[in-house]
Amino acid sequence: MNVAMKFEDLEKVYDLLAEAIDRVGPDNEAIFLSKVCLVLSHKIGDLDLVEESIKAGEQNIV
Amino acid sequence: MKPSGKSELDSLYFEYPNYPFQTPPEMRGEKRAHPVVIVGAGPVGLVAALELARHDVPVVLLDDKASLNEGSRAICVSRYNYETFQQLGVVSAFEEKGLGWTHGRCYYKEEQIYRLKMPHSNEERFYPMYNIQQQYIEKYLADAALSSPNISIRWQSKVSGIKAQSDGVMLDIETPEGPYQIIADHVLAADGARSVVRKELGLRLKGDSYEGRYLIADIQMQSDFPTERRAFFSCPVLGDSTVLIHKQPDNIWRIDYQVEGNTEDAIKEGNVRSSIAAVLNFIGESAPWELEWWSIYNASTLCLDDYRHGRVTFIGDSAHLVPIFGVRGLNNGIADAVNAAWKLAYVIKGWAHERILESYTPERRGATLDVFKSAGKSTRFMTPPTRGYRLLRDAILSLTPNNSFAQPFADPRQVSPYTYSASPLTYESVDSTEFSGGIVAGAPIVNMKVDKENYLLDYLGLGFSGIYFCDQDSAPDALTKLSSKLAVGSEPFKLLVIAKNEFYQGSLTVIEDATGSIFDAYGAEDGSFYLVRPDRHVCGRWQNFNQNEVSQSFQMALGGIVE
Ligand SMILES: Cc1cc2nc3c(=O)[nH]c(=O)nc-3n(C[C@H](O)[C@H](O)[C@H](O)COP(=O)(O)OP(=O)(O)OC[C@H]3O[C@@H](n4cnc5c(N)ncnc54)[C@H](O)[C@@H]3O)c2cc1C
Repeated sequence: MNVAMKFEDLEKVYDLLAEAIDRVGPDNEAIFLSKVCLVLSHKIGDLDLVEESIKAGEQNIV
Repeated sequence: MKPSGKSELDSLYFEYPNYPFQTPPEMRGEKRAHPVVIVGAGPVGLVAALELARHDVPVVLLDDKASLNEGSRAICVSRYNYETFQQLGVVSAFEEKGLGWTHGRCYYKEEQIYRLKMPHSNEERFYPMYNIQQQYIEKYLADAALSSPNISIRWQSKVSGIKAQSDGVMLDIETPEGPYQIIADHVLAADGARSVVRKELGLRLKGDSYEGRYLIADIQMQSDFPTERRAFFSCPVLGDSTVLIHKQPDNIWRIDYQVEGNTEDAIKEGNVRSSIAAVLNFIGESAPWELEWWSIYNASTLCLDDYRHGRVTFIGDSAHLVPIFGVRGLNNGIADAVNAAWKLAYVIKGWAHERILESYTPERRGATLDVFKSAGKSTRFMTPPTRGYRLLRDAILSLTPNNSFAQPFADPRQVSPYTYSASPLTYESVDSTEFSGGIVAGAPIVNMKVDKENYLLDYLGLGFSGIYFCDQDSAPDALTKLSSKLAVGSEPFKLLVIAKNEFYQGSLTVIEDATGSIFDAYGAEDGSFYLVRPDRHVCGRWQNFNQNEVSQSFQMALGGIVE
């Protein structure tokens, strides 16, 4: 994976995720998002990239 | 709304004029049809009147008030409209008063996460955006309209009925001295969001309204903070809501904040004061302040299906309502006014075919629909409607400081002038694809610097213009011959030659572009040509000047041949 996603597509992801979170409901959002991350990691197939992404997600958590 | 004990037109900084009612000729028994009557002397109606007057068309402007609209309302005016104000001859007052700006800051909770910079270069005369209260906008426009011999403003004259027929329009008007009727060949409805003209014609705005509501408040306060747009997301002192802060002239600060829960409570003076105090404390302002005005606002994307209804044309808020975040309500309204007015002027003068008016809806409703596209997105970002949208918004904001890919989400997606590509007046030349860069057909020209004091716009005339790019020591004969045929009525065609090396040739206006910066901005080569409408939008452009195509494009821009 070496091409970054187009902004327009990222905007679509934003809406898709937001609507899916609303569908699964607040009790299930953490497990839902964890599953999505695992599926994406499997598809990316690059451990370094996934580790980097996990670090990026942990930054600025207050 | 005003603090208790103050009346609507009491202000800390602005003196509202009082415009008297004057008995119109119709009430003295005179009967005649006016070429154009404009309903509503808000900012949009005033601009339309000034544009018609500029093309020497007499205008009657009706307004139900005895003064200007109350409150600062729309405060951001775009560069594009400063250029319009220049063409209307009123820009000096705006330049003196308005606060130009190029930067913004975006905060998430306590932290600044993003610095916004709007595209701007020293080659441009005006800043991308100016902050100025709507009262001043209306005042400067009204002053110009009141002194124009072509404009007669009838204050305290309320339109209450309309009969639109194929050969003219009759309006019922109520005044302090009783009712009368006025007959017009054409009507421009600039009577705002609650348009009576729209209602009387049985027309409706269609679209969506959004959940999020904002309280908009002005205070007067001394502060050294520069003129920048500040956006606070998840502002901890206001229950994690969104807050926007803008500086205006006269030490006035606009504080907009998202309202959660009961609107009736939110607009109570005590609650407005304590919310403002909390925000000021949060941003570290400690100077004393006074409350000037507040109002509640809710975002919607609504417009008419067709902006024309026979001889009645809708301009501004009467035709469309848009969310405030992109500051497009007033900015687009002013563009509507100019667009409708020059075309109507040309039809009334007999210089253009009536078909030219058919381009108004595609051009200006097109602009509205373009706003709608991004308005939904920015509204969902500013006021997330559900928990899912809220989580995604916060995730983006939390990523923004360290991940540049997230930054465009936080951009305010502000007003940019609309390109009339799909307009029946826009010409796609055969060689237009040869341009790399520059300004596409339908877009407005860029007001490039010419020398120390002058910019391109300073050279344009009243009517159509042409810009020819030249790297020789004279301009071709075909060009000068054609340009003498492109005058419209009493409005001469203005031909500008942008030359790499200055030369003299008869009465041609030759502008030297030694550095090539104007050539670059227009993607031009030797022989390139732009044909420009009276409203600064490009009709068509040619990498190599083509006499036949330019003539065709010119005819098209006038709605076809006048029989
Ligand atoms: C309280 C408030 C706050 C706002 N805040 C913002 C903001 O923060 N940012 C932003 O971008 N926009 C804001 N807006 C919107 C902005 O003010 C409008 O987009 C702009 O005023 C539109 O101009 P207009 O000339 O089309 O309509 P208006 O300004 O509404 O002018 C219409 C004119 O027509 C007159 N009129 C109405 N009916 C009749 C009649 N029957 N006969 C004769 N005359 C009539 C009215 O008196 C008025 O002068 C706000 C609007 C309001 C009302």
